[in-house]
Amino acid sequence: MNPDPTNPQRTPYPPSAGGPWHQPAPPPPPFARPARVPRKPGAAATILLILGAVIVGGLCGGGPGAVAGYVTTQPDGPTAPPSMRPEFPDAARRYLPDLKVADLADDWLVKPNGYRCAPSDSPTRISEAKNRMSCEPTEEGLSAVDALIEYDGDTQLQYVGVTCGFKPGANYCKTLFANLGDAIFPRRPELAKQAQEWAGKNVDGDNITTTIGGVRLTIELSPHRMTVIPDA
Amino acid sequence: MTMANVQPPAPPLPSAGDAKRAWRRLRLIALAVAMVVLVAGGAGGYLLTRGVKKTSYRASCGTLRCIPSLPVSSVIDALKGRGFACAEKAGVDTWTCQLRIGDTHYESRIGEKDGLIYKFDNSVRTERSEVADAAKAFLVWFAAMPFSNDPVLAEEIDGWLIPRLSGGADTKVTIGGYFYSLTAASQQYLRLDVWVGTR
Repeated sequence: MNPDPTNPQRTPYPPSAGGPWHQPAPPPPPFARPARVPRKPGAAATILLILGAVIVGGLCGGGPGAVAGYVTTQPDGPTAPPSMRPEFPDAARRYLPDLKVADLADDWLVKPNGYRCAPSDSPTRISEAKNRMSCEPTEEGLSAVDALIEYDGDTQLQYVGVTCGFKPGANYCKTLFANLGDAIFPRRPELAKQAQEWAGKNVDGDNITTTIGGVRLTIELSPHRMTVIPDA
Repeated sequence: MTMANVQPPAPPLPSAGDAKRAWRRLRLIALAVAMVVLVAGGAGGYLLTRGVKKTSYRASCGTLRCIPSLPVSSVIDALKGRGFACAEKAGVDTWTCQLRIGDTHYESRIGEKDGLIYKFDNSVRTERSEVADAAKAFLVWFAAMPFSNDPVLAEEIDGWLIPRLSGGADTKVTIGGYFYSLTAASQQYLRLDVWVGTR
Protein backbone atom coordinates (compact mmCIF):
# COMPACT_ATOMS: atom_id res chain seq x y z
CA MET A 1 0.00 0.00 0.00
CA ASN A 2 2.22 2.67 1.27
CA PRO A 3 5.37 2.35 -0.69
CA ASP A 4 7.41 4.27 1.74
CA PRO A 5 6.55 3.77 5.35
CA THR A 6 9.16 6.23 6.44
CA ASN A 7 7.44 9.11 4.70
CA PRO A 8 4.33 10.33 6.39
CA GLN A 9 3.43 12.55 3.46
CA ARG A 10 2.95 9.58 1.32
CA THR A 11 -0.04 8.52 3.42
CA PRO A 12 -2.59 11.30 3.05
CA TYR A 13 -5.41 8.98 3.91
CA PRO A 14 -5.73 6.11 6.17
CA PRO A 15 -5.83 2.87 4.32
CA SER A 16 -9.05 2.58 2.46
CA ALA A 17 -11.41 0.53 4.49
CA GLY A 18 -14.35 1.01 2.26
CA GLY A 19 -15.76 4.38 3.11
CA PRO A 20 -19.37 5.26 2.64
CA TRP A 21 -18.67 6.06 -1.05
CA HIS A 22 -16.47 3.06 -1.58
CA GLN A 23 -13.69 5.16 -2.79
CA PRO A 24 -11.01 3.24 -4.63
CA ALA A 25 -7.62 3.28 -3.15
CA PRO A 26 -5.48 6.14 -4.55
CA PRO A 27 -2.86 5.12 -7.08
CA PRO A 28 0.66 5.07 -5.83
CA PRO A 29 2.48 8.33 -6.38
CA PRO A 30 4.20 8.28 -9.75
CA PHE A 31 7.51 9.28 -8.28
CA ALA A 32 7.66 6.61 -5.77
CA ARG A 33 11.05 4.98 -5.85
CA PRO A 34 12.04 1.61 -4.67
CA ALA A 35 13.58 1.65 -1.28
CA ARG A 36 17.19 2.79 -1.55
CA VAL A 37 19.42 2.52 1.43
CA PRO A 38 22.55 4.69 1.46
CA ARG A 39 25.49 2.40 1.57
CA LYS A 40 28.84 2.86 3.20
CA PRO A 41 31.64 3.74 0.78
CA GLY A 42 33.10 0.63 -0.72
CA ALA A 43 36.79 -0.15 -1.16
CA ALA A 44 36.77 1.04 -4.78
CA ALA A 45 35.18 4.35 -3.89
CA THR A 46 37.60 4.84 -1.03
CA ILE A 47 40.59 4.14 -3.21
CA LEU A 48 39.29 6.36 -6.01
CA LEU A 49 38.56 9.24 -3.71
CA ILE A 50 41.91 9.05 -1.93
CA LEU A 51 43.71 8.66 -5.24
CA GLY A 52 41.85 11.67 -6.59
CA ALA A 53 42.82 13.64 -3.50
CA VAL A 54 46.45 12.67 -3.97
CA ILE A 55 46.41 13.63 -7.65
CA VAL A 56 44.62 16.93 -7.16
CA GLY A 57 46.69 17.82 -4.10
CA GLY A 58 49.90 16.81 -5.84
CA LEU A 59 49.17 18.81 -8.95
CA CYS A 60 47.96 21.87 -7.09
CA GLY A 61 50.92 21.79 -4.75
CA GLY A 62 53.71 20.34 -6.85
CA GLY A 63 53.10 22.48 -9.91
CA PRO A 64 53.28 25.90 -8.27
CA GLY A 65 55.98 24.65 -5.91
CA ALA A 66 58.13 23.56 -8.83
CA VAL A 67 57.54 26.84 -10.64
CA ALA A 68 58.38 28.81 -7.50
CA GLY A 69 61.51 26.77 -6.98
CA TYR A 70 62.58 27.38 -10.56
CA VAL A 71 61.83 31.07 -10.65
CA THR A 72 63.25 32.08 -7.29
CA THR A 73 66.45 30.05 -7.42
CA GLN A 74 69.71 31.11 -9.03
CA PRO A 75 72.43 28.51 -9.40
CA ASP A 76 75.48 28.49 -7.18
CA GLY A 77 78.21 30.05 -9.21
CA PRO A 78 81.63 31.49 -8.69
CA THR A 79 81.74 34.62 -6.57
CA ALA A 80 85.17 35.64 -7.76
CA PRO A 81 87.08 35.12 -10.99
CA PRO A 82 89.73 32.40 -11.03
CA SER A 83 93.15 33.25 -9.71
CA MET A 84 95.53 34.49 -12.37
CA ARG A 85 98.64 32.64 -13.34
CA PRO A 86 101.86 34.56 -12.73
CA GLU A 87 102.36 34.88 -16.50
CA PHE A 88 99.03 36.69 -16.89
CA PRO A 89 99.67 39.97 -18.74
CA ASP A 90 100.63 42.70 -16.32
CA ALA A 91 101.19 46.35 -17.06
CA ALA A 92 104.20 46.18 -14.75
CA ARG A 93 105.94 44.32 -17.58
CA ARG A 94 105.10 47.04 -20.08
CA TYR A 95 108.49 48.71 -19.56
CA LEU A 96 112.03 47.48 -20.15
CA PRO A 97 113.16 46.24 -16.74
CA ASP A 98 115.66 48.29 -14.78
CA LEU A 99 116.54 50.65 -17.58
CA LYS A 100 116.60 54.47 -17.74
CA VAL A 101 116.55 56.75 -20.74
CA ALA A 102 119.88 58.20 -19.55
CA ASP A 103 121.47 54.73 -19.50
CA LEU A 104 121.14 54.66 -23.28
CA ALA A 105 121.17 58.30 -24.34
CA ASP A 106 123.84 59.74 -22.06
CA ASP A 107 125.95 56.79 -20.99
CA TRP A 108 126.08 55.04 -24.33
CA LEU A 109 125.16 57.24 -27.30
CA VAL A 110 126.06 60.80 -26.34
CA LYS A 111 129.10 60.69 -24.10
CA PRO A 112 131.25 57.87 -25.52
CA ASN A 113 129.98 58.01 -29.12
CA GLY A 114 129.20 61.65 -29.76
CA TYR A 115 125.57 61.21 -30.78
CA ARG A 116 123.13 64.07 -30.57
CA CYS A 117 119.79 63.28 -28.93
CA ALA A 118 116.63 65.35 -29.08
CA PRO A 119 112.95 64.82 -28.32
CA SER A 120 111.06 63.99 -31.48
CA ASP A 121 108.21 66.23 -32.59
CA SER A 122 106.69 63.50 -34.68
CA PRO A 123 103.47 62.03 -33.23
CA THR A 124 104.37 58.70 -34.81
CA ARG A 125 105.12 55.95 -32.32
CA ILE A 126 106.04 52.34 -32.68
CA SER A 127 104.86 51.67 -29.12
CA GLU A 128 102.16 53.41 -27.09
CA ALA A 129 104.67 55.56 -25.22
CA LYS A 130 104.08 59.26 -24.66
CA ASN A 131 107.56 60.44 -25.56
CA ARG A 132 110.08 59.69 -28.24
CA MET A 133 113.74 60.59 -28.35
CA SER A 134 115.74 60.49 -31.54
CA CYS A 135 119.54 60.19 -31.53
CA GLU A 136 121.88 60.60 -34.49
CA PRO A 137 125.64 60.36 -34.83
CA THR A 138 127.49 63.60 -35.49
CA GLU A 139 130.33 61.83 -37.29
CA GLU A 140 130.58 62.17 -41.08
CA GLY A 141 129.24 59.38 -43.24
CA LEU A 142 126.86 57.91 -40.67
CA SER A 143 123.63 59.49 -41.89
CA ALA A 144 122.14 56.01 -42.33
CA VAL A 145 122.36 55.42 -38.59
CA ASP A 146 119.88 56.50 -35.93
CA ALA A 147 118.50 55.41 -32.62
CA LEU A 148 114.95 55.81 -31.29
CA ILE A 149 113.88 55.59 -27.68
CA GLU A 150 110.18 55.61 -26.77
CA TYR A 151 109.24 56.11 -23.15
CA ASP A 152 106.64 57.42 -20.72
CA GLY A 153 108.96 58.50 -17.91
CA ASP A 154 112.71 58.32 -17.40
CA THR A 155 112.50 54.79 -16.10
CA GLN A 156 109.64 53.72 -18.36
CA LEU A 157 111.06 52.67 -21.69
CA GLN A 158 108.76 50.87 -24.07
CA TYR A 159 110.82 50.64 -27.21
CA VAL A 160 114.40 51.03 -28.32
CA GLY A 161 115.31 50.71 -31.98
CA VAL A 162 118.63 51.21 -33.72
CA THR A 163 118.74 51.46 -37.50
CA CYS A 164 121.99 50.80 -39.32
CA GLY A 165 121.55 51.42 -43.02
CA PHE A 166 124.71 49.69 -44.12
CA LYS A 167 124.75 46.55 -46.16
CA PRO A 168 125.10 43.24 -44.33
CA GLY A 169 128.64 42.55 -43.34
CA ALA A 170 129.36 46.11 -42.27
CA ASN A 171 131.42 46.18 -39.13
CA TYR A 172 129.76 49.34 -37.86
CA CYS A 173 126.40 47.58 -37.56
CA LYS A 174 127.94 44.64 -35.75
CA THR A 175 129.49 46.93 -33.16
CA LEU A 176 126.37 49.08 -32.90
CA PHE A 177 124.03 46.16 -32.32
CA ALA A 178 126.39 44.42 -29.90
CA ASN A 179 126.75 47.62 -27.94
CA LEU A 180 122.97 48.04 -27.81
CA GLY A 181 122.72 44.54 -26.38
CA ASP A 182 125.25 45.52 -23.75
CA ALA A 183 123.66 48.89 -23.00
CA ILE A 184 120.17 47.64 -22.21
CA PHE A 185 121.41 45.74 -19.13
CA PRO A 186 123.55 48.38 -17.40
CA ARG A 187 123.16 46.77 -13.97
CA ARG A 188 123.12 43.11 -14.99
CA PRO A 189 126.46 42.24 -16.55
CA GLU A 190 125.57 38.57 -17.10
CA LEU A 191 122.57 39.46 -19.24
CA ALA A 192 124.52 42.29 -20.90
CA LYS A 193 127.16 39.83 -22.05
CA GLN A 194 124.53 37.42 -23.31
CA ALA A 195 122.69 40.11 -25.28
CA GLN A 196 125.92 41.54 -26.65
CA GLU A 197 127.01 38.15 -27.94
CA TRP A 198 123.63 37.37 -29.45
CA ALA A 199 123.46 40.71 -31.28
CA GLY A 200 127.01 40.42 -32.60
CA LYS A 201 126.37 36.94 -33.88
CA ASN A 202 123.01 37.69 -35.49
CA VAL A 203 123.77 41.14 -36.79
CA ASP A 204 122.83 40.22 -40.34
CA GLY A 205 119.94 37.94 -39.47
CA ASP A 206 116.53 38.59 -40.95
CA ASN A 207 113.71 38.68 -38.45
CA ILE A 208 115.60 36.78 -35.77
CA THR A 209 114.30 37.02 -32.24
CA THR A 210 115.37 36.05 -28.77
CA THR A 211 114.23 36.76 -25.25
CA ILE A 212 116.79 37.64 -22.60
CA GLY A 213 115.89 38.73 -19.08
CA GLY A 214 112.29 39.60 -19.96
CA VAL A 215 113.43 41.60 -22.95
CA ARG A 216 112.72 40.73 -26.54
CA LEU A 217 115.50 41.42 -29.03
CA THR A 218 114.83 41.33 -32.76
CA ILE A 219 117.08 41.91 -35.74
CA GLU A 220 115.67 42.45 -39.22
CA LEU A 221 117.20 43.38 -42.55
CA SER A 222 114.78 45.66 -44.31
CA PRO A 223 115.47 48.11 -42.91
CA HIS A 224 118.54 46.83 -41.14
CA ARG A 225 117.48 47.36 -37.57
CA MET A 226 117.67 45.95 -34.07
CA THR A 227 114.72 46.50 -31.74
CA VAL A 228 114.31 45.99 -28.02
CA ILE A 229 110.85 45.68 -26.42
CA PRO A 230 109.50 44.12 -23.23
CA ASP A 231 108.59 40.46 -23.60
CA ALA A 232 104.80 40.15 -23.53
CA MET B 1 14.32 16.05 7.79
CA THR B 2 16.14 12.94 8.73
CA MET B 3 14.28 9.95 7.59
CA ALA B 4 15.50 7.88 10.46
CA ASN B 5 13.50 9.95 12.90
CA VAL B 6 10.16 8.92 11.61
CA GLN B 7 10.23 5.54 13.10
CA PRO B 8 12.62 5.86 16.02
CA PRO B 9 13.63 2.26 16.41
CA ALA B 10 13.96 1.81 12.62
CA PRO B 11 15.39 -1.63 12.89
CA PRO B 12 15.35 -2.44 9.17
CA LEU B 13 17.54 0.52 8.24
CA PRO B 14 20.32 0.58 10.80
CA SER B 15 23.05 1.57 8.31
CA ALA B 16 21.59 4.77 6.85
CA GLY B 17 23.18 7.08 9.43
CA ASP B 18 26.36 5.08 9.57
CA ALA B 19 26.72 5.28 5.81
CA LYS B 20 26.36 9.03 5.79
CA ARG B 21 28.86 9.34 8.55
CA ALA B 22 31.19 7.01 6.76
CA TRP B 23 30.95 9.09 3.58
CA ARG B 24 31.54 12.26 5.53
CA ARG B 25 34.50 10.70 7.24
CA LEU B 26 35.88 9.56 3.91
CA ARG B 27 35.46 13.03 2.45
CA LEU B 28 37.28 14.52 5.41
CA ILE B 29 40.07 12.00 5.09
CA ALA B 30 40.34 12.71 1.36
CA LEU B 31 40.46 16.44 2.05
CA ALA B 32 43.14 15.94 4.68
CA VAL B 33 45.10 13.74 2.30
CA ALA B 34 44.74 16.36 -0.42
CA MET B 35 46.00 19.08 1.93
CA VAL B 36 48.95 17.01 3.09
CA VAL B 37 49.84 16.07 -0.49
CA LEU B 38 49.40 19.69 -1.53
CA VAL B 39 51.88 20.90 1.04
CA ALA B 40 54.28 18.01 0.55
CA GLY B 41 54.02 18.25 -3.23
CA GLY B 42 54.58 21.98 -3.13
CA ALA B 43 57.64 21.60 -0.96
CA GLY B 44 58.85 18.66 -3.00
CA GLY B 45 58.38 20.43 -6.31
CA TYR B 46 60.06 23.51 -4.96
CA LEU B 47 63.05 21.58 -3.63
CA LEU B 48 63.32 19.51 -6.78
CA THR B 49 63.48 22.39 -9.26
CA ARG B 50 65.54 24.40 -6.82
CA GLY B 51 68.05 21.56 -6.63
CA VAL B 52 68.12 21.20 -10.40
CA LYS B 53 68.59 24.93 -10.86
CA LYS B 54 71.22 25.18 -8.13
CA THR B 55 73.50 22.78 -9.89
CA SER B 56 73.06 24.25 -13.35
CA TYR B 57 75.83 26.45 -14.66
CA ARG B 58 73.75 29.23 -16.10
CA ALA B 59 71.66 31.80 -14.29
CA SER B 60 68.75 33.74 -15.71
CA CYS B 61 69.21 37.43 -16.32
CA GLY B 62 66.18 38.90 -18.02
CA THR B 63 65.67 37.13 -21.33
CA LEU B 64 69.28 35.98 -21.35
CA ARG B 65 71.46 33.59 -19.45
CA CYS B 66 74.43 34.72 -17.43
CA ILE B 67 77.32 33.33 -15.45
CA PRO B 68 75.70 32.81 -12.04
CA SER B 69 76.70 35.00 -9.10
CA LEU B 70 79.90 36.37 -10.62
CA PRO B 71 79.73 40.17 -10.60
CA VAL B 72 81.08 41.93 -13.68
CA SER B 73 82.82 44.34 -11.33
CA SER B 74 84.95 41.57 -9.82
CA VAL B 75 86.30 40.69 -13.26
CA ILE B 76 86.88 44.33 -14.24
CA ASP B 77 88.67 44.93 -10.93
CA ALA B 78 90.89 41.90 -11.46
CA LEU B 79 91.89 43.20 -14.90
CA LYS B 80 92.46 46.72 -13.63
CA GLY B 81 94.66 45.19 -10.96
CA ARG B 82 96.89 43.95 -13.78
CA GLY B 83 97.03 47.38 -15.31
CA PHE B 84 94.37 46.95 -18.00
CA ALA B 85 92.60 50.12 -19.06
CA CYS B 86 88.87 49.42 -18.80
CA ALA B 87 85.96 51.50 -20.03
CA GLU B 88 82.24 50.87 -20.21
CA LYS B 89 80.57 51.64 -23.48
CA ALA B 90 77.41 53.47 -22.46
CA GLY B 91 74.12 52.21 -23.78
CA VAL B 92 75.32 48.80 -24.85
CA ASP B 93 76.44 47.53 -21.45
CA THR B 94 79.77 46.36 -22.75
CA TRP B 95 83.07 46.72 -20.99
CA THR B 96 86.28 46.94 -22.96
CA CYS B 97 89.62 46.34 -21.26
CA GLN B 98 92.92 46.70 -23.07
CA LEU B 99 96.59 46.32 -22.41
CA ARG B 100 99.56 46.49 -24.71
CA ILE B 101 102.91 45.04 -23.76
CA GLY B 102 105.68 45.29 -26.31
CA ASP B 103 104.27 44.07 -29.61
CA THR B 104 101.31 42.27 -28.07
CA HIS B 105 97.87 43.74 -27.65
CA TYR B 106 95.37 42.16 -25.24
CA GLU B 107 91.74 43.08 -25.43
CA SER B 108 88.71 41.83 -23.59
CA ARG B 109 85.07 42.76 -24.14
CA ILE B 110 82.50 41.79 -21.53
CA GLY B 111 78.73 42.00 -22.00
CA GLU B 112 76.85 42.90 -18.83
CA LYS B 113 73.24 42.22 -17.90
CA ASP B 114 71.88 42.95 -14.42
CA GLY B 115 75.42 43.11 -13.07
CA LEU B 116 76.24 39.63 -14.41
CA ILE B 117 78.09 38.49 -17.53
CA TYR B 118 76.20 37.09 -20.51
CA LYS B 119 79.05 37.01 -23.01
CA PHE B 120 82.68 37.89 -23.38
CA ASP B 121 85.40 37.76 -25.96
CA ASN B 122 89.13 38.07 -25.64
CA SER B 123 91.74 38.60 -28.26
CA VAL B 124 95.52 38.62 -28.43
CA ARG B 125 97.15 40.36 -31.38
CA THR B 126 100.87 39.99 -31.66
CA GLU B 127 103.80 40.06 -34.03
CA ARG B 128 105.18 36.92 -32.46
CA SER B 129 105.10 33.67 -34.30
CA GLU B 130 104.52 31.47 -31.27
CA VAL B 131 101.88 31.60 -28.54
CA ALA B 132 103.40 33.35 -25.54
CA ASP B 133 102.80 32.08 -22.01
CA ALA B 134 101.14 35.37 -21.18
CA ALA B 135 98.67 34.97 -24.04
CA LYS B 136 97.94 31.44 -22.89
CA ALA B 137 97.40 32.58 -19.29
CA PHE B 138 95.14 35.38 -20.50
CA LEU B 139 92.85 33.18 -22.59
CA VAL B 140 92.78 30.28 -20.14
CA TRP B 141 91.78 32.59 -17.31
CA PHE B 142 88.76 33.81 -19.24
CA ALA B 143 87.83 30.40 -20.56
CA ALA B 144 87.63 28.92 -17.05
CA MET B 145 85.85 31.93 -15.57
CA PRO B 146 82.29 30.50 -15.60
CA PHE B 147 83.54 27.40 -13.78
CA SER B 148 86.02 28.77 -11.30
CA ASN B 149 84.11 27.02 -8.51
CA ASP B 150 84.15 23.71 -10.39
CA PRO B 151 87.71 22.39 -10.75
CA VAL B 152 86.64 19.42 -12.86
CA LEU B 153 84.97 21.51 -15.53
CA ALA B 154 87.67 24.16 -15.36
CA GLU B 155 90.20 21.46 -16.12
CA GLU B 156 88.09 20.23 -18.99
CA ILE B 157 88.14 23.74 -20.45
CA ASP B 158 91.92 23.95 -20.12
CA GLY B 159 92.24 20.59 -21.81
CA TRP B 160 90.11 21.76 -24.69
CA LEU B 161 91.69 25.17 -25.10
CA ILE B 162 95.42 24.90 -24.56
CA PRO B 163 96.29 22.46 -27.36
CA ARG B 164 94.05 24.35 -29.78
CA LEU B 165 95.75 27.70 -29.24
CA SER B 166 98.62 26.58 -31.43
CA GLY B 167 96.49 24.25 -33.51
CA GLY B 168 96.15 26.66 -36.41
CA ALA B 169 92.42 26.12 -36.80
CA ASP B 170 89.15 27.61 -35.66
CA THR B 171 87.07 25.43 -33.35
CA LYS B 172 83.80 25.50 -31.50
CA VAL B 173 82.54 23.53 -28.50
CA THR B 174 79.71 23.62 -25.96
CA ILE B 175 80.75 23.06 -22.36
CA GLY B 176 78.31 23.28 -19.46
CA GLY B 177 75.81 24.93 -21.80
CA TYR B 178 78.29 27.63 -22.79
CA PHE B 179 79.21 28.17 -26.43
CA TYR B 180 82.95 28.47 -26.91
CA SER B 181 84.39 29.61 -30.20
CA LEU B 182 88.13 29.87 -30.75
CA THR B 183 89.77 31.71 -33.62
CA ALA B 184 93.30 30.36 -33.94
CA ALA B 185 93.97 30.10 -37.67
CA SER B 186 96.86 32.51 -37.14
CA GLN B 187 99.03 32.56 -34.02
CA GLN B 188 99.19 36.32 -34.41
CA TYR B 189 95.48 36.76 -33.84
CA LEU B 190 93.93 34.53 -31.21
CA ARG B 191 90.39 35.14 -30.16
CA LEU B 192 88.06 33.33 -27.77
CA ASP B 193 84.32 34.07 -27.82
CA VAL B 194 82.11 32.76 -25.04
CA TRP B 195 78.35 33.12 -25.18
CA VAL B 196 76.17 31.99 -22.30
CA GLY B 197 73.05 31.78 -24.46
CA THR B 198 69.37 32.65 -24.29
CA ARG B 199 66.65 31.06 -22.21
